[in-house]
Amino acid sequence: MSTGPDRSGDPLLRTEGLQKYYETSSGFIESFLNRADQVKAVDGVDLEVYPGETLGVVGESGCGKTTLGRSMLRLIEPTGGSVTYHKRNEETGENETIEITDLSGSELRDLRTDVQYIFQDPFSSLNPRLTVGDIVGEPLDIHGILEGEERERRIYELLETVGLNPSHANRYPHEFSGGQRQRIGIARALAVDPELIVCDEPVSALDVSVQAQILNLLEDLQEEFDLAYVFIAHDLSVVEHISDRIAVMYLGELAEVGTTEEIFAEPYHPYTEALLSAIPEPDPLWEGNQIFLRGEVPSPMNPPSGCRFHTRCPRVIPPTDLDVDQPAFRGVMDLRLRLSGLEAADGLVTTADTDTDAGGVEDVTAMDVESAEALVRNTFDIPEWIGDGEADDAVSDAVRLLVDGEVDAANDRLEAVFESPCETRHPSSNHIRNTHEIACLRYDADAPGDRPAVGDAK
Amino acid sequence: MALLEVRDLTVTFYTAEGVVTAVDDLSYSIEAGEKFGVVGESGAGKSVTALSLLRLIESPGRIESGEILLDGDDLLEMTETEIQEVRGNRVAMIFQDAQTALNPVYTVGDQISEAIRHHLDHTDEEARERAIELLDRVGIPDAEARYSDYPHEFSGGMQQRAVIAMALSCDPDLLVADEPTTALDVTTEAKILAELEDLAEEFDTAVQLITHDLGVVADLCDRVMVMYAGKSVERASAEDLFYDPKHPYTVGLMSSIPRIGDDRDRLQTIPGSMPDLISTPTGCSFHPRCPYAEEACRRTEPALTEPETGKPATVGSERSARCLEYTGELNGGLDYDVTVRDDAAAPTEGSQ
Repeated sequence: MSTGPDRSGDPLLRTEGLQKYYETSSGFIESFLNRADQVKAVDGVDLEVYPGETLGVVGESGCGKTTLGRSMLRLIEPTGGSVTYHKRNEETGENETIEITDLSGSELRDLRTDVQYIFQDPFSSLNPRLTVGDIVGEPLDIHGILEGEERERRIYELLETVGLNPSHANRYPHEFSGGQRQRIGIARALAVDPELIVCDEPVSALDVSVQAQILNLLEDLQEEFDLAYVFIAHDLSVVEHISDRIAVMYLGELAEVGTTEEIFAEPYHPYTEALLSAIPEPDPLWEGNQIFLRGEVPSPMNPPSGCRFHTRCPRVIPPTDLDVDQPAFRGVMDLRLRLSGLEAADGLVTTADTDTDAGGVEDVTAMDVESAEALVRNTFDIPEWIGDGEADDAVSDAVRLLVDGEVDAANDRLEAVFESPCETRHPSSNHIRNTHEIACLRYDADAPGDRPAVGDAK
Repeated sequence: MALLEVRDLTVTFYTAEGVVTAVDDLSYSIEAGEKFGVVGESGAGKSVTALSLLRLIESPGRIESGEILLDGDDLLEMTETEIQEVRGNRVAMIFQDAQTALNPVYTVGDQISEAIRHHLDHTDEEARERAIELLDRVGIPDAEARYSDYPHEFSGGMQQRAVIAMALSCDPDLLVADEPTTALDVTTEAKILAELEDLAEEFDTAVQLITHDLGVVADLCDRVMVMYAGKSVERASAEDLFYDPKHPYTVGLMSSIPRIGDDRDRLQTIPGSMPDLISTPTGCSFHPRCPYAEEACRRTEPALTEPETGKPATVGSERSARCLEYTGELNGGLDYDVTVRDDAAAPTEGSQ
């Protein structure tokens, strides 16, 4: 895995500030009133793919990894940024630079002989009315590559390459199993002899034993034809197995990019760290410390300010002038997040948060200030005494305001003291080592706060 | 007496192509409070087994024979009214796709309190309170407000939490969870599994967890049954199964998953795919894919056997495997290594 392709020359493909926003409503009234919301599916992604390498793209559903893969090849039209392809001229050995984002329709079609795509769903990505031979032969027809007998021969050869029986060329997709259909999809992508294939969750619909067959096939083909892959998947163990480099996405942005070894070792982006800890290990005696992230992935329609991960980050940075430890600060952040989504103070604390057996909801507005404060601190894992006078005063004041039912004022009081740099500053990508970039303020030399040790970082 | 005992269950589907034997003479038992895993690939018969427990097999499927004893009562002998009392009340089910398990036109809270009213004879107000408490318990923030949300207003993880709340609403003895986290992201999956484990403990509920994910099984289950082509091929405690698997199919499954931190260039695979259940191979149904198959495997169908003693296994056997190796009918024997972790636990020699 780590013998790795050569990354010294030009990348095969480079995205700069790639952006894809979706309009949530195409209704006339909304667009007339300029009220349509935008979903920021991919928001400013810089990535490079080098010849012959596998770049894994991981992230949870909705993080924009499929949109990224598709807008890279302009299967969907990006709304900003650029994608550059370096085409090697076989005769001169020089690289020709192609701006994919500037290509016309017919130029784009020509590019499809160099870059191809394998889809997740082997059931819907094959035309059920074409025979397997015609599915695999279609790219040959479209690009006028081969005709007649040569075309036939090439189809047989391709089917054989992906481990199918050439005599099956006259069958229809429904006669094949999921794994075999995925092989047909791979044969189709190979037909034009591409340099780069974007594989979008190619094995997630398959059973484990079949999944291993397809992963091995992809690796064999890479070796045989010197292919580069962009391998999009949610399964970290699959990505770790197949990738040379990995990009971790969160809410449309890159959190971390590095070689597989770098991603799976310290220093971590806090999100990657949580992702890694959550993988269920196939070992009953394994006792890992799972990091449970609070809440759910926020909506990409209105992503959090600053660092998009700050609403769930277990390592969110406290303001420099406060002397609080990490868990206590996370607790206050959670309290603030809960307050900002709350309509009335009486819904603040629910019994799931506490260990009391009383059913229903604890109404802080019906309590005296002292017990309300104890309850709030207990619920949000804020210690009785944070250890910083200003911080403790702010919490007490906020609880007093809550007892009076003043949710917004309480929130403002907390924000004034507990505003994290992560909320206000957007983290840029920081080079930890040459190939390792982490977009997190903890690694940003210009940001306030302590820097974690990063070993032999330059 | 075990909480659940399935004896010689056979379920068939009548299709245009022929008779599919989805579950073939299957026996197993689950103790009260136990977490029992059922592992296998698609077509192994895992889900059909689960649906049979609630008699939810629909035409063209049919439960041909067998007994399903819940605390000694045979579910297959019950009348329709009796089985309805069991469903949701003594045995509850969680499906893979939470979105289809929830009715889109009723609020989440109403759907949960309906089950409570129906089975537990609570008043509307009591049922509502219990539903809120449950939503709260499974980790839905601001449960009182979310009570009147419709399913589409919940995210996938929250829908699955709501379904778990509904399943637990009547304090069932057995919870059948069919791929409960397969559709979820890994961070959500980890939380839901931890939650499920806590709840099973708290409510003292036995869980039959059906999954294809060996990581999930290792995380949650006490005992595991591996299914292949409608049959149980191996049954063991989770630890034994992962560290000392006895059936070549189990070994194949274990070695075909990529593990974090191993640096194999190639994954080991099981060649081919699950056989067509209309015409399962003769002899051992795994023999066409088995690296250790011999002539005998094609002719003789192996019985579930206790690997240590070579005696026929019963439902009560601590572990069992369906391979001719353990009745001494293989000449070449089995020969494989299993490495669960590189550093810990020395590889176990599988050859006997």
